Amino acid sequence: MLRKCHSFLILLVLMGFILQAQGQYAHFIRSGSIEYERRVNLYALVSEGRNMQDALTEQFFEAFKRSNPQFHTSTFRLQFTPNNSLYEAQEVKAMNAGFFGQIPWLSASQVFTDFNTDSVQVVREIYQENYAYQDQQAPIIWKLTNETREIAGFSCRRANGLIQDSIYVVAFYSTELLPPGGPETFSGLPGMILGIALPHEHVTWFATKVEERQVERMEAPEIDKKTGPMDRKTLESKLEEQIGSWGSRGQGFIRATLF
Amino acid sequence: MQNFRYVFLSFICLLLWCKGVVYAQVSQIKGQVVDTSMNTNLEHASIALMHAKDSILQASTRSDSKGKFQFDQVEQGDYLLWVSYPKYTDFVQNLHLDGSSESLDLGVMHMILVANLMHEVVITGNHMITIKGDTIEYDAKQFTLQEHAKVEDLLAQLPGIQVDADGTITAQGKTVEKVLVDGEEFFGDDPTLVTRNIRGDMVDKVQLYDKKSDQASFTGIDDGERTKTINIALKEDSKNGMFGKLDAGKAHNDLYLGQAMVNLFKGDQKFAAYVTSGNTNRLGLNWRESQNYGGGSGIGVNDDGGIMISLSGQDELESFDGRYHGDGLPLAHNGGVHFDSKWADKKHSINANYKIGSLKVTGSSETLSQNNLPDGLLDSRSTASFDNYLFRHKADLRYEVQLDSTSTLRLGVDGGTKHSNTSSRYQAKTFDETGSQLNDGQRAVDNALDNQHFNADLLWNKKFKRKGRTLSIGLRPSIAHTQTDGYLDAQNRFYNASGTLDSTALTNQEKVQEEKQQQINSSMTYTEPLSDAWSLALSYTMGLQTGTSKLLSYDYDGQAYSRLDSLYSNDYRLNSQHHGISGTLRYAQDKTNVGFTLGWNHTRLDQLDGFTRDALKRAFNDLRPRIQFSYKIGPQKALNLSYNGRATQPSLQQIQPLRSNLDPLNVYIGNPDLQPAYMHSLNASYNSYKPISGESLFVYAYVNANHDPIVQDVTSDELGRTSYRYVNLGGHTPLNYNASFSYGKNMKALGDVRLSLDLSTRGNTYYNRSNGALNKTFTNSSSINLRISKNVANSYRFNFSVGPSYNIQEASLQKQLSNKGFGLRGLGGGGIYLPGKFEIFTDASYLYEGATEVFDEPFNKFLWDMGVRKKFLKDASLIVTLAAYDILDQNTGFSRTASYNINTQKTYDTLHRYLMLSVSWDFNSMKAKK
Repeated sequence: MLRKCHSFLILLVLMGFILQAQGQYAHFIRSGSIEYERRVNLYALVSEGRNMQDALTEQFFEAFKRSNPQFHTSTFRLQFTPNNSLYEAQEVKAMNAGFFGQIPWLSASQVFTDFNTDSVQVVREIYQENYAYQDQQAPIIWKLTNETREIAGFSCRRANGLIQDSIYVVAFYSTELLPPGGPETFSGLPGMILGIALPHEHVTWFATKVEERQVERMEAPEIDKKTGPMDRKTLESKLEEQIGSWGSRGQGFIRATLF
Repeated sequence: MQNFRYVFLSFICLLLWCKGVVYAQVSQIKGQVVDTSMNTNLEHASIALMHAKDSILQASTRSDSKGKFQFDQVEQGDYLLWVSYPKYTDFVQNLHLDGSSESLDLGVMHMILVANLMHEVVITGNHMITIKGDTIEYDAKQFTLQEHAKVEDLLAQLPGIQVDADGTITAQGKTVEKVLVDGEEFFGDDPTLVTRNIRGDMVDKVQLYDKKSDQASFTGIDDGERTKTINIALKEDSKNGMFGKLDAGKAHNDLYLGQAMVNLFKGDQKFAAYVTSGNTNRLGLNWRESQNYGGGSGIGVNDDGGIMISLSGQDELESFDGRYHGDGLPLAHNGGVHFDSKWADKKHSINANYKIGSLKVTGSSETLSQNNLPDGLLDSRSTASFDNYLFRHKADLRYEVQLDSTSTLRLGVDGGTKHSNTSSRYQAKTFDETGSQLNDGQRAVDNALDNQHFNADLLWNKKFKRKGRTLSIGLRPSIAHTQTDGYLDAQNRFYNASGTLDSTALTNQEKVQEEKQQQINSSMTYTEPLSDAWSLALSYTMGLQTGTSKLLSYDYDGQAYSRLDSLYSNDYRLNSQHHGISGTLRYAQDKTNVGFTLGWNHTRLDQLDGFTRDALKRAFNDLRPRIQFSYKIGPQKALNLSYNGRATQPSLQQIQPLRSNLDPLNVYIGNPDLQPAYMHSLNASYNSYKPISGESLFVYAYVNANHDPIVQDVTSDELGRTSYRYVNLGGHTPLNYNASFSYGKNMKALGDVRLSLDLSTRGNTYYNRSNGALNKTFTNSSSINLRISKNVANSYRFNFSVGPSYNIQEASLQKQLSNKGFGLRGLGGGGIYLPGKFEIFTDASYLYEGATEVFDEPFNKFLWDMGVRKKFLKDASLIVTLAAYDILDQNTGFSRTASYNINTQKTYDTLHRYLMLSVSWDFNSMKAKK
């Protein structure tokens, strides 16, 4: 939320000249680890696309709301150096929506990002099955804004983006962390992404803790030997084959696997 | 939320005075970031290069230790360069690159330190606002909005809320930190990237409140932190309009089917009605339809998402799948109306139903049975025909009220009346192992029955402040009254060994019976969390029941039924009391859930026969332990184990049966010394499902062992009459078990067909006494089934399954007459979608049961249906179907069963071959979902 007001800025800029404010070096974080909390809006995902005119579906939804909180939360850890980062699931609670079947965006992920080559190795466990790919980072169109918000003690700027021309993403990044990384495969902003929202997919990731420290050499996740390294395109066609016929729910799963 | 483009432009304009617009012709850009006031180079400053047109990020870099940065190979165009450094104001510059020069050095870029953080502008709202608790609620309906107005436009109208030109929202003088839509944070869309259509007219209400910190909501300990929050609650999908179904069909013979169902919605009110009529096996609504049209009786959803089916609410005119499953040919008419409504913020709800219906069933059956005796056997053949009619209506009403945020009260009442006429004719003959006839007989039984019943149900639930502490109290009184007027006309002839008539038994009686029953049941359950993982549930139940049952039998004296037959008349009064307590200790943590339950029941029965003054007093105690363990390995992978122990009480019929002359060939004798048996049950299951690849594995097994069982003691005399008595059998343990394994997978290599394999074995060992000798019955049925299926939307679908089974029924008394044989079951179906919305479909099933020592004929049945349907209208809602059912005319009812030392085979009337033309139309005038 933007709090700044134009008149104040002018005033401040003028004050900057007049008061000969003291210059100061900022402290930048080169390596460390970040804890993220992922929140998935179960109610929105469960009710979308369902026929709530049907009395039984409505009953199931009411029962689902009584026995489940609106948000499913999980924790992840990102370790980063100026060269690469490793993002891993810490605690992801198993979840099954009964009558409503499976819910996308609840996967446990492991993502290794190489900032020098802009490549990623991704393993996502979705309902007991591992889906892995190895590819260049997916292109994200970013538009920077000057809206700011504080996340985990860091002042972050907002950027809006589109992943693969289809998924709308809102990111908050801080320039005080040097690597251009973020949770999952989100990256490419002039700083570390500490908050991400996919408003139309009803999922957010926000940093809860940032720790500056030395990071040991990180291992890329093991890609399933049987399937071998697969690129995003190959995995997409494999998923299309498997669940493409599920309709909008299948497409949701495909987005949640490939992003 | 934020019109950030506008903000951004104004921001840029503001800063442009720092440095003029630079026009350059380059493909390389470089510069240096310096705090000139202190003359220091700023390292790690973030420099972003964006397209000027849409502020899309083109490249970004950081300054080096000297504050220098560089972008290489920049394409021609208009750019914005944005330099930022923590605690300094941003520096923004416009660049125009036309490619005529190789390098552009921007020189030193001066950064200015932000010395003071600004304080917020406080704008005090001076409008009147109504406060509900700690929440201010605005009803969106009361504000006029233009079509396609945005949420911001609505918010701007609300008193006490200001929306600045830059999108900042201020409420009651404080900046709103969070805007939620249905509880989820709303970030606002960038209209140049995407738009989410939350229009003002989709908003139901806007709530403004101080949100406690997440910590406070989680721990319940208020840390005083508050965030000004707006929650925009969207309207639920507007429910106005109707949907329903019309369906009519006529066969080449006199079979027909007609159904009409409609559902009308008006906001929180719903009205539904249905009528069904037909003489195919269709009885009425199936469970799914009854949810929408019939008020959902008998089906509920619990909080775990499981379906609870209570069959107690169903009567002869209702069934789970809406079909008739009994013997004979049914003619059913059913109808009902339903109304439900919610009001006062859904805190009150009412649900009312009325149902009316009739069922007429006619049919005949033929039964062959073999009774294995220690020294021979009895073979009996009987035929029966019946003509039954039932008419009933019933009504129910349920009212639920949310008394406050922690307690609910539910009151339900239901009642109805029933009238039935049943008429049956039987003929039977019994032979011994040499084939000589022992008896024959015929019987006619006619009954007219009237029943009235009324039940009520009161339930109060309370949740306490402490999470997991709950109390619920329930009370269920009921009364029922049944009156039967019946006639029995029977003639039985018995033959001695030489085949000459030994004796004849004649009965011609009117039987008048009246039963009255009143009972009240109550229950109380309290749950208490002991820690995060442990919880305790305690419950107490009590039941009181009083009833009278009076049966008067009158012999026919040539003119009237006037002579009372006191032997077959009785007048019982029964009082019973029941008390039960039970405690459950549960451990639930992560993936593990363990429950230990111990229950104790005490039942006291007090029965008096007013005719004989015979009194029966019994008291039973019953201890019920239960251990249940489940381990959730993954979201759809779990292991479950459980043990149950419970006493099996002898029934009143086993202790002191009503003396009956309805079937003189089969007579029941009581045993007042019967003791309860004890049943141990073990259950285990494992299931795993991978929804994306479609791989599933399901393993299930149970075994029940009955300690000190109550078994039948059967005595057959030389005239073929059989008497039954129940006794405790120490030292022997009847068992029954079932184990099944099922695996399924989508096979890529086989053209993506789904393949599944099922293995199952089930059986039992039972004991009984037959003419004094101990008989051990062993049955087992094992089968393998392979199923393949494929469904290609709008193209074709098929499924096919086949598998053999091996069945054993063996009685120790007549080992040479064991019933062993192979069986085979096959099932198949498919459909092809043709152009012009045509579809051809077929279904077939095959059943084979081999000949055995007892049943010397194998049994074969091949049922085959086929038809064609065409869909009409744009939404394919009108369907015309022409289908032939049971094309090969092989549908006969057939069953083979073994119970104790008696093997039975029965054939009965069912519907067979017909051709039917039907039309069905689904209509829906509800607004399509957004």
